[in-house]
Amino acid sequence: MSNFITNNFKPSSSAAWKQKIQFDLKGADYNESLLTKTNEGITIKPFYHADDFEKLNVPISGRNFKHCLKIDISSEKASNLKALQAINNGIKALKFEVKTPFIFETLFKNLLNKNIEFHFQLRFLSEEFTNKLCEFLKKESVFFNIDIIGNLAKTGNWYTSFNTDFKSIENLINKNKLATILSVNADLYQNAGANIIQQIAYALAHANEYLTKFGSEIANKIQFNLATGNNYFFEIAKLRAFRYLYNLILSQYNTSADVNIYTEPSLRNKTAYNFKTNKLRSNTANISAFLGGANTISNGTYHSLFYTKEDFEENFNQHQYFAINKENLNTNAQHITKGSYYIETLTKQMAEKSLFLFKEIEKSGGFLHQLKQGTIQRKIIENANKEQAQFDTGKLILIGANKYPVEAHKMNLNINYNFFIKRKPHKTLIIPIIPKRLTEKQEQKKMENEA
Amino acid sequence: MKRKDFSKLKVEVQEEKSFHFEHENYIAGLAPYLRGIFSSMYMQEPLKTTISNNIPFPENIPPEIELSNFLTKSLHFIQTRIKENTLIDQCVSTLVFHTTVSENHFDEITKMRAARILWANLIKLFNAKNQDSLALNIHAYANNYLNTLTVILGGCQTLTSKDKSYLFFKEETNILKTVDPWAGSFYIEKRTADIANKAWLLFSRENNM
Repeated sequence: MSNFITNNFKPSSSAAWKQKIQFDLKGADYNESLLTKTNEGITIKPFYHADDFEKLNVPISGRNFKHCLKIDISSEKASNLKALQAINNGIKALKFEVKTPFIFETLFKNLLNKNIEFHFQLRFLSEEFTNKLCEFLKKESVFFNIDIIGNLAKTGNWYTSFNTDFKSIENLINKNKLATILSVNADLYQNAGANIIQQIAYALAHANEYLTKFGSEIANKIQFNLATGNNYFFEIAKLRAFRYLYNLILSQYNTSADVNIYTEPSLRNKTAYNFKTNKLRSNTANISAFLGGANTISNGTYHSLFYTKEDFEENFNQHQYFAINKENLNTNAQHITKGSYYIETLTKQMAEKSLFLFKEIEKSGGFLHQLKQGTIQRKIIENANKEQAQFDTGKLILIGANKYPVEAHKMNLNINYNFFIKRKPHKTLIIPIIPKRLTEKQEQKKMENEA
Repeated sequence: MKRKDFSKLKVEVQEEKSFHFEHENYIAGLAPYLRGIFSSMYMQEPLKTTISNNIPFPENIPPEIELSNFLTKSLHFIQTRIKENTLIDQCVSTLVFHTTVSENHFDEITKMRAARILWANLIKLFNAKNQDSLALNIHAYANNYLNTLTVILGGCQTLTSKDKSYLFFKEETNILKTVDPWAGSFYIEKRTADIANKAWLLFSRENNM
């Protein structure tokens, strides 16, 4: 094709570009001034070029993306109304947070046969209840998100015991062959301070415990719940690297899977002071997840410490995804990342590093073994402490907290103070993994001064 | 089931792009400045920002028409000044592409990339002596945080926005740490070529070039 845009100018190589940068730096050190080193052990270069192109064959999910609203079930009737309203507003996925068994006929009144995707976050493990729920929703698309290993990691204890817990999910899987019973709740690792490499490797190793127990038949019957941070392109690459590696691991089981990835914005970088920025943090995280190929994206649970009600509800608006993808509505958003020098390079680097860590965990006896030993917990705390030190010294910046603070702004003190009070340590089987926000310490201090 | 042995597992890296546009080997800091007007962009030349409530409305016309209009206006300006015996390098030094971006995120990123390459082609016609004359300064207006994200990823030099969301992008997202981060994407590169070609064709026809 005769092309005006390439007629008048000569192309440049990667080497020529670097030379030009060095000339423009006027003696300043290239590595010092232009390279950005991250806690993942990945260095962001000032430029990426076709000359150093590398990529992996990242599988593309065949399912369309859905925006999900999370609803806490305190009363079945109220939650039902909320769900109906959301569906009227165009929401295609709902996630119900449940503390105790509920009356599902009331909750699901007029919600069935509408092509809505349902998710649960059950705070209890009951075979009987879950079986009934499965039966009740057998014609619907449902993710039950039962994760006994995730519960162990989070609380330090099994629901009942190793044997009983595994027996329960085994029964559930056998009885409800078509349902997606299991999940890997790897959002916990992100929220506790694991870096991206750890998040990917832990999610895979966590899943491999279920694969080892139940075999390849459940490969596609696990939902992955991940939390999204704000290193924009890294978060896009994270989901791609994860999808690639999950299938690489499944190749050892002679299978593959188009697995459902559900994401929520991370809480780790949310700030109680100057909380306006939280809306930006969550929206931007969701865009990363969208471009990275998440299947279901939710804003998580509303918390008055972090959002005004208006800001949070505005997040439910799907305009951001449509705006991002408007010219491209007929194309899956994941295709946009294909060929991008930067994203492809990041994906490859993350996949290599995460696979290395995954193999180490497997070699040492697996994820459960490392949880029992406390290795996973120790490694997460190491990275969390590193990040905390970076925040404390102003190297890791959160707007409004350690840079550009708005002095006049006070925290929403109507909130319940208990939010900050440390959980009393109780006897647990293993050390639990505790989510921690970077600004907690600073906020506690500030709040004491205000009181 | 017995634990699988993963020790031999390896990621399979491909070094060949499955597509390549000729213009993909244009860089930042050298004409035609496709990927930015400074060799390492925001790392060297920080984004300049102002806050205002008066943001001009987006033009609501296809990007190729907006760009062709910009080229035509610039051409007329340059021709007038040259008639007054001003040197090309002098008369373009004050020209800036002002644009209010729409909500079409990727279209706007590609528009800004196309604008730089079109500008270099226009100025090349006048035999500019100074390489910098071929570099197009872009001033962008952003109505909301998403627009701000768009124009930073497109590589503008100056930004007028309603809010301070650029601070968040600058400090928390790492998106200013590398030049033209969407480069290489088939979708972006194809769209850049499409918009640039269409705009040049419209401009050439309109001005009988």
